Amino acid sequence: MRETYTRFREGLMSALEAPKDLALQEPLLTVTGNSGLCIENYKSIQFYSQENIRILTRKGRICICGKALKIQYYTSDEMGISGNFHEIIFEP
Amino acid sequence: MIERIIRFWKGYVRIRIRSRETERFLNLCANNNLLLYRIQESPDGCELEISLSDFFRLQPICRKTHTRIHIILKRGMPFFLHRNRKRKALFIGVFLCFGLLGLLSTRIWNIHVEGNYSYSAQSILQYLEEQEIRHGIAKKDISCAEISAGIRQHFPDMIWVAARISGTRLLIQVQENMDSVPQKEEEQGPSDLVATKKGEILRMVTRQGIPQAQVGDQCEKGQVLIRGLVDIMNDNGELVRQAQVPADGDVYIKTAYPYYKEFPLAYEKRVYTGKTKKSLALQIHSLELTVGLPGKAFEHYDRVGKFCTLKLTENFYLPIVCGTATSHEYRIVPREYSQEEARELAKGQILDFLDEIMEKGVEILENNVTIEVTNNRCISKGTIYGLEKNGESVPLSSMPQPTERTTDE
Repeated sequence: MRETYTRFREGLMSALEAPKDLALQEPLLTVTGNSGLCIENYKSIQFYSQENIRILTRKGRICICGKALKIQYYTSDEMGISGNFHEIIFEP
Repeated sequence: MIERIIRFWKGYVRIRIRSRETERFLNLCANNNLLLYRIQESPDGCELEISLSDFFRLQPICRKTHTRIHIILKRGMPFFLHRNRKRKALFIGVFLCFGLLGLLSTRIWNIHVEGNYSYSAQSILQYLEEQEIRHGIAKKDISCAEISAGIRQHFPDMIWVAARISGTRLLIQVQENMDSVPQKEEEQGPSDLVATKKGEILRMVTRQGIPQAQVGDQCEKGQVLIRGLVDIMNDNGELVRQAQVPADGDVYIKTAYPYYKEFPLAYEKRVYTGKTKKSLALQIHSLELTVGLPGKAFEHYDRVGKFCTLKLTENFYLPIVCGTATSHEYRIVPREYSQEEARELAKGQILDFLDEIMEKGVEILENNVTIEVTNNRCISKGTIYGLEKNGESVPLSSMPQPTERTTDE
């Protein structure tokens, strides 16, 4: 039932040509090289260390691995991360 | 950049948090709309920056997450003011500075003129000065429309003038009429052409009037060359009336310029010793101040100065002149010109004299000047003949018109 609803919602939003980040609350990532990252549409930080940041979103977790990771700014809407990124993993 | 200035203005602190639930602390801060900056892991916990106003809202979150806070750094205007609260002069100075800046910004400190071609910026500024528009005038006392209209009226060649105030500058843009405007010839009343110099007439062209002399005649000063009174005759050759016209024509005469100049062969020559002395000079209004290096003053010297007038803006000159003056010492050595040197010098003097009279529009016809060197003196004498235009218009005195004869008489 839930799956049907999700598919219906996705189809409707696709037909309306609404942006996915707004309509389906998908996380929005803007990566600048391997040193800058801006994330929107997330729920919270699950784990933070200099080598690893795990962010919880509505569509799963995003795991950022790297070196000297810093959170430049952190608000409920947007977060900026800097450092030396090695990999960005999307976990279901 | 602006964000940084705002943060500095409001003040912020860098804190170190120690908690077992660091992530929960961060999430709670974000959910409570507390802005966190530069979050960084440190060996003792986690460091972050937070604005001063948000810092005081941290307490409930700390209690909830059992977090201990340690302030590492305090930055910003509130802390600066608190640290320097006893330095009253500093604050008075800053206040005065801004006050003065505000006061000065209400006045005009630069008048810029552009687009002028035949009129110098200085002449336009002088006109503005006469209208009491000068550097330092309050902006509210200036009417740009009046300035534009005034300049247009005062300088008739200017076809377009725009004045506007930009900051503390008064910008005046002008457009001059580049096409030459034909000058209206003034209506000339009846006149005679009268000789202004004595000489022999070599060329004569009469355009209007009756010539009273001819080529080859000697004319005296004040003599009428062309008469402005023209006899009108009828078919029988009888005088009907006399018409008064402005006499016009070109009369060229041969004039003589006597030349005599002498100078002694002995003269005093300045021999520079190479010694110089520099001094600083400052002039404020009419008060002059010279600061020189101590030492014996030269007996004979030439003083060469390099001065500049201080100015605040492009055309805003202060009444202060400063610069350096250099004294070059020289000795006076008695010398004597040789015959050749004296002749060369005399030739140069004659050429200077010729240039001088040629500038007045005289064409040189003959040069009979001779140079003699006798009795330790060099004498150049003779006469220079030149061809020049003669004559000036003198208004005709009104003469009674003869009554026209009719058949009844």
